[in-house]
Amino acid sequence: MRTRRVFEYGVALASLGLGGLVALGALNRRSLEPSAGHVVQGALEQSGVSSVVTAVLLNFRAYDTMLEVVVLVVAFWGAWSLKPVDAQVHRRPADPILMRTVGGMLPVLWLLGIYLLWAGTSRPGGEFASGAVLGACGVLTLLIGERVPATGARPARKLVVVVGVLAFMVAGVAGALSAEGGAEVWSYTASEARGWILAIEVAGAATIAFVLLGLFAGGREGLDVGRRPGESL
Amino acid sequence: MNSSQIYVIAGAGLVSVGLFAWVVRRHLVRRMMGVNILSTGVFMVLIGGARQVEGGPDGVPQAMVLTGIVVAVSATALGLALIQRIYDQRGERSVEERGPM
Repeated sequence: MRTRRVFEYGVALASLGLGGLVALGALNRRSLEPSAGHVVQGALEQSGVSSVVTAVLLNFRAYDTMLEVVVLVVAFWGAWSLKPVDAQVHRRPADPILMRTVGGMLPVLWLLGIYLLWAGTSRPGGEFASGAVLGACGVLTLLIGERVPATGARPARKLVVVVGVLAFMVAGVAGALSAEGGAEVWSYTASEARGWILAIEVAGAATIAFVLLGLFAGGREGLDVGRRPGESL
Repeated sequence: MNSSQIYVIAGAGLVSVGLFAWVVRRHLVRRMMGVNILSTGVFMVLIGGARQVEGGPDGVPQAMVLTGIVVAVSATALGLALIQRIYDQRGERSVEERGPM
């Protein structure tokens, strides 16, 4: 027990030291030179969108964003193959207050999610924000005991999980096929970037929303909610 | 001290707390929470420590944190599913604080 106490104090000191170093490094602005933001601002015209964050995510660092969506999909597959949920959400008794409030809120939330997707090209928003809101819509739908539309069909589920990654790949292959001189291989040019970014955002938001919903449900059984509203168990 | 410096210091504090909980705690859910607090601290340091450029804040750290939050949420969900599996395999619902892990 005494060695345990010494260990805890040692870890506390090391943690504080690391936190102090992190704060020092971030407060000392020289450590973050040169700022990549200036480069992005300078090249914003070539990106096809006017929002800096979307330009970074879906044009300048699109490979990285694609692989982040892959991480989401792998986490989804891992969780579903473990089948962790035996106490399913819809087995709980219905809460009339929750059903009334959430039921009224859901259409507004859907609208907000779609607005965030549409706003992503010029303002803060985009596929990650929109996917998170739409995924939360799905979670709330499960919590009030309703089935989320279109999640019951197995082919639709399989398609929507991978469509966010497929959109990136189609954009890259199309860029490779139409590339002249080799400068733009596996990417899109400034003139066609806006269309590709919109397509990737729509597909990515669908994938992110469904992955978050599926992670909450914990498996196919968690999605198949068959109870009518108000029905008690 | 301006507001972004406050965010940086608070984020560094969260990094310390999360790292401590991750290393010292034995309970698996507490460890998971420690990792989450650590990642939240890193996000806050990245946003708060970002430089101002012409036309607003630096977009690159914002983009990194935006994707990082969603990835952290899904990684947490996978971690919780794994923890649930570990408990199921052992036939118990929780591991004690000073358990055998």
